[in-house]
Amino acid sequence: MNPISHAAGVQPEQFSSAVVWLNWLVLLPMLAAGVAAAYPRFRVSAHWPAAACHLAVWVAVVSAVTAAALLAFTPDAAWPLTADYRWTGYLFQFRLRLDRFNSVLLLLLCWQFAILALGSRPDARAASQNGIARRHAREASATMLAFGCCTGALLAADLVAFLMFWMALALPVAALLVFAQPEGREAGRPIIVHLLLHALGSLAMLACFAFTWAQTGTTDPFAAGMSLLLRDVAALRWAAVLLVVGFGCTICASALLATRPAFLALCAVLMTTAAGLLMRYLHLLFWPYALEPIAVVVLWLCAIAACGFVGAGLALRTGHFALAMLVCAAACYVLFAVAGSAAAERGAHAALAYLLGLGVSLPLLAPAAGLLRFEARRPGREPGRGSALSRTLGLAAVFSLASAPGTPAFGGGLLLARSLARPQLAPLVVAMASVAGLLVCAFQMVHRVRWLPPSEIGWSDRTAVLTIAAVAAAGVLAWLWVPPIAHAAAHLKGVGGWR
Amino acid sequence: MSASIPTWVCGAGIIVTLFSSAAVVLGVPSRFLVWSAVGHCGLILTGVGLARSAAAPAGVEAALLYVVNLAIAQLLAWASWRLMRGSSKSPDFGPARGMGRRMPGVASAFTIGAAALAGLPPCAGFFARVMLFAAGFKAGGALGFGAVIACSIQSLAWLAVALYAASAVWLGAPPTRPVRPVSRSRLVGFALLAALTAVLGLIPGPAVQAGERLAYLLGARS
Repeated sequence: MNPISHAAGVQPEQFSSAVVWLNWLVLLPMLAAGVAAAYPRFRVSAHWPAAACHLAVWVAVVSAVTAAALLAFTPDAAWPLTADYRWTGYLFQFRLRLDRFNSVLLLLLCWQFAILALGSRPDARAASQNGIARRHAREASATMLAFGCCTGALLAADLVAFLMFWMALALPVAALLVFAQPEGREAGRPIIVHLLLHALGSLAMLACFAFTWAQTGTTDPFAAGMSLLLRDVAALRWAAVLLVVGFGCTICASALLATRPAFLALCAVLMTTAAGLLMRYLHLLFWPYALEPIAVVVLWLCAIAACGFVGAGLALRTGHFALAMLVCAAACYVLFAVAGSAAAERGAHAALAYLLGLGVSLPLLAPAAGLLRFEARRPGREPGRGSALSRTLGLAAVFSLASAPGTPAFGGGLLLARSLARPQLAPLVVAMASVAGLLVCAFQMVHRVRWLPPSEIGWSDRTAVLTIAAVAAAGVLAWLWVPPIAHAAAHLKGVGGWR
Repeated sequence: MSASIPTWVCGAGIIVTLFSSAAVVLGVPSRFLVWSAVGHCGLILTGVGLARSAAAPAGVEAALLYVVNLAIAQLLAWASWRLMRGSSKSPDFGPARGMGRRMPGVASAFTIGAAALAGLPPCAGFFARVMLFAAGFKAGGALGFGAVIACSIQSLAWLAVALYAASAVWLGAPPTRPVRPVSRSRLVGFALLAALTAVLGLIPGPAVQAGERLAYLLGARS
């Protein structure tokens, strides 16, 4: 069934055993979390406590089902898995759906949680102690609960069902933060600030969804997007603005977790999930003119790029300048690739060239940064003077990242510049470039704040990180406000008969 | 132009909600549960007033869910808070500080009750807030948007104070004074109330249908 028939009121007909899969995918990690918390000393092997095994098993199951569904997709069967129940009478429905977009995001989530599961495996000797086993079981059960909530939020095809999973995610995250506190247990303030920002973001999202329901009478994002576009484009803009503000608050809340190294992995998972979800719901609301297959990839790359910039700011906060440069350069490349893919045939070639350049640069820069850090710690070494290998790798990476002649990115830049000559593509590409420019400005600002003396700046680091998120949100808003709406309206008028 | 009685009711509900939000943040910390109850009453008035004055029947359903949530979650939070504070008359959270280690069952009951009052899922308060937002946007105008803003402020204010209370309970240093053990019957009662809170949030259909019938009776739904 395609989205148009669904928007016209045709109900999905896939009520088979596949429905059971979707519900179990969400519910079983939550049940397993309870089991893991109830039996903290149960162990599968000397190195693997039961809690970590539960998490790994469910991550593997969700990955397998998602990958199978992704392979089973055909152009005519957009939603092979759909679960749909009446929930609260006339107003809301509990609806889960696995489509092409959220299956990609779900796979990304599975990889992240798999890394968390591997990283959370305790030392075998320490894990045999009762207190550590219990603490690890509590952490693993909270992680599994968070995994279940994230899965539910990704699969939800109803705005209220999504909001329920997303707000419930705050509880296991808060539990994880409490468990990660040191023995003094005096640092409750970051948890409170995180939860309040999460609640603020949830309220903005709730306002968006209630506004959408009041305008359209449905909480299905596909149907709501279609109805809003046909009735009132301004309402669609406001819904998107509220959605961006809501997710922006959540990403800020996640960014605050990076004040402590123990929370960095959790922060990365939450930020990537939030950015992916934002793109998913924007895609659902704006689907009438984003049905091209490339749109899914473009939005996903945008989400990763946004996360990359926030991650760069965070890496700067902790003094990891090489990591910040790496992440920021990669995010810039992704943005250029997005701009290229939004252009015409030559632009697609440019995008490929940029991605090739990224593929060359990152394997060069990552070991160079690692070698420099390693050598800087060795006694008797002058800081900043690495071995010949690290210097060569670093120079080659910078050569490639700077799009110097002879590199793939140089050719990509030429092709992109030529494709910009097409006037009908100018607004979109200019909007994308403005986003990139805004983000680079924000990056520079954070760089200044981080490295100049405080007397010359007067801003705190936290303000800088929040500002980079706000500037990024402003860039996305600018992108939302101008070109897509104008393109959609022009397209609908051109097609005729819709207004 | 004279406003109708439901409009006055809705306006009064908004004012009561905003006043209680200010009081719960600025007032005596130990009285936060009292102001939470007052805020819920304001939201109930707002929902009923919206349904009658602006033809937004979801307001009645929101009000009914708020009543149910207030009855159960407030009882759970208040009883557990009283047990943790003991006979202390201190105006701040001090007597309950660190009781999460000494009375984990009671502290968990308080946390669940506070989360339900804050409207976190899976609790009835979550759907009550969703429906009040839906009614507010459906009604539109000053009353509708005022209801949405008042509900948002009340949620955030209550959540902030409840989080400070919960952090004092769970993260504070454990008390040195002797603590009386909690009887098994009380713990069973707390567990039942907590389960009821979760069930009402996960299966809100009956309460919503009762709200629909109430909306018919009040004339808000035709």
